[in-house]
Amino acid sequence: MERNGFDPRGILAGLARNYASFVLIGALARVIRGTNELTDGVDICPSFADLNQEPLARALGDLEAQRVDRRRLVLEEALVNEPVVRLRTPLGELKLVPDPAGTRRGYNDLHRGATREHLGDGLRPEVASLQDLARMSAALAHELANERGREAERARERAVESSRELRRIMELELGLQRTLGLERGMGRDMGIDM
Amino acid sequence: MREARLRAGFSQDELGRVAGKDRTVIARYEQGIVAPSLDTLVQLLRACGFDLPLELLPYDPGPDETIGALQMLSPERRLDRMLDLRRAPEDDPVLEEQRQRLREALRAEEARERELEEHRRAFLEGVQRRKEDRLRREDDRRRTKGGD
Repeated sequence: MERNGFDPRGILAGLARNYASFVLIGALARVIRGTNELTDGVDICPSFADLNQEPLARALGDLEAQRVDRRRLVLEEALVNEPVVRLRTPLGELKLVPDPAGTRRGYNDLHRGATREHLGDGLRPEVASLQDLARMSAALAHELANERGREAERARERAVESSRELRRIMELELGLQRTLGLERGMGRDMGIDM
Repeated sequence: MREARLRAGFSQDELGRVAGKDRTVIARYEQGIVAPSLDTLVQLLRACGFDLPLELLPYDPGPDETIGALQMLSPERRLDRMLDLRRAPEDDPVLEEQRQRLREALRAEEARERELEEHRRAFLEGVQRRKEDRLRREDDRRRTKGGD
């Protein structure tokens, strides 16, 4: 386990070994996509398919997940009624976000653009795409714009900064793709197989 | 150098005379054809009435540079890097200073909140007192009228 009680690989492994379907979102997904930030929690958007309810419940039991507010966890009810289900596990915080800001149908929307990324220890979770992460950060910043209070203001600043950083990464990737495309084109023009 | 010379209102010739250098040497420095030594640079800047304080600061790459470097890593390495950063060594002087600043900022924030809370309480007490005074006065007035 990592120091400070945060082991994201342990949490993801717990979900994977119980075959829970989800897309990794939030700060951890952004870090995996290349942003420069720190986090101590795992945010996921779980699939709402009936087939996923049992594996997800089993995974949460396996991870000894408990609600942060100490109430009893009734998974189906919480996923329908709460925008964010905050759970505490011995490996770190786990947040279930059934319908993240900026998405239309949560998992189904994110699943389309998500890709499986190798994170070591044989883990290959689905990670939300750069575009979807940027969309979620921008939507979150917009939602928080109307909220008052210092905490909301800080969260909004973080969301704006994340969205900017993700856009810069997208520009970098686009530039790289263009360069590669240009090189390939040049190769063809010159009769060289690049 | 050009910025300092122009701000001082010197021509290259005048600066050369003040600093004891040939005008052509100044021109080459300004065009970047030849790089002056640090001592020469400071001497020329001082001749213009400016100084160039040199200070050692921790290197802080710009956001684009960091992002560019992160793009070169695999997702697995990016995750490892973030976890390594979370495990900040206790004896890092830069981090310790930042920790100290954070603690001070938190203390200041707590003090400000306490002050705000006191103001709020004083205000509410004032409102309550005025309300009670007004009620008492109205009671007195009613009683006086009743006596009449």
